[in-house]
Amino acid sequence: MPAGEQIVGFGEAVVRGSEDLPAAREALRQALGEAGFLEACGIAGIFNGLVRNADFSGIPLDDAALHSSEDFRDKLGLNDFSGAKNSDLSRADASQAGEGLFPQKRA
Amino acid sequence: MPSSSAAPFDYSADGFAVRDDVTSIHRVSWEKIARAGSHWTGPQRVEIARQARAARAARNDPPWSRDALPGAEGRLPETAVEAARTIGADAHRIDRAWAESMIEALGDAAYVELGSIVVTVSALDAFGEALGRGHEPLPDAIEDGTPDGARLDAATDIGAYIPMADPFPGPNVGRALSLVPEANTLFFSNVMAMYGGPSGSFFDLKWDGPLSRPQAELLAARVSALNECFY
Repeated sequence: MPAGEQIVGFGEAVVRGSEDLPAAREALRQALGEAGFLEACGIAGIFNGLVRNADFSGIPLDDAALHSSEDFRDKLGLNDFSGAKNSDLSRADASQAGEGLFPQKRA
Repeated sequence: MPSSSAAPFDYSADGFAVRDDVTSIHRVSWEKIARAGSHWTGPQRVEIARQARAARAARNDPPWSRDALPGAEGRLPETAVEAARTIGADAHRIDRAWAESMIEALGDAAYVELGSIVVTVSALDAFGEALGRGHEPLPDAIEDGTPDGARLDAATDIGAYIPMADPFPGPNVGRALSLVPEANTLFFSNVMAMYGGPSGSFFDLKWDGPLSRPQAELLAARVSALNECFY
């Protein structure tokens, strides 16, 4: 993925508030340009809110996410996170996975 | 640090070409936090924001060593202070028993409104950190005003800690705060501006940003995983 390494490094530095953040910021700017960098800041920022939103509310996964993520949740260790208890994972059925999980690119 | 401009979130004064719609919604969010909401007064809402910001800043320290966190000095019940700090710094550790104890003490709608302030401040603070600008000073509380007590009577138990709208015409997570309409608007107006691009929309599932969708989702997934968020 273009700039994948810089995107991951930036996200990690933001969440951890690490000393690497200035360098990660500059690397991302170089890789994506200013507009891409600003968009990435928005995504990194709002997801620091969205994760807390999901965790404090205890909202369970909807069926689309439940089914679509079945084949990789366990592999990635996501089922070990505390919030996994908020969804009935026994209902997951990968054969019912479909579209509609994330925003689609506008045509 | 932000410039000392009279207007909050003056990104352009600090050399950042942040979109006008993003700047605008950040300013509106600060104005809203300063005023009475549905279940908390303006001073209480600003105190919730202050507690959440301080706790999140200490998130990498173990909970037992965060003794430098500011006291609420009577502006909030101790349970509310605990809730704001926990959601700000340790949301990934929240379980049903803890949430239910908070809800029993505060009430479900007050818990939702408190959480909406915490998640909004967390998002805007993280945005400032990502930019390299730092945190916007919190707004001065507006003393006048009485909480209106609004709540969505039709909200129902969908298996979450709190009642939510059901059915809901949008992404599932978009109904997490639906019990308190003002709280839902406070946070999700920021989601719509910051996630989806200049003409995209989180709620109609369209994407239109300078990043490709895989790039955006890679960043979102990494941030979520490091926060140990299952959702």
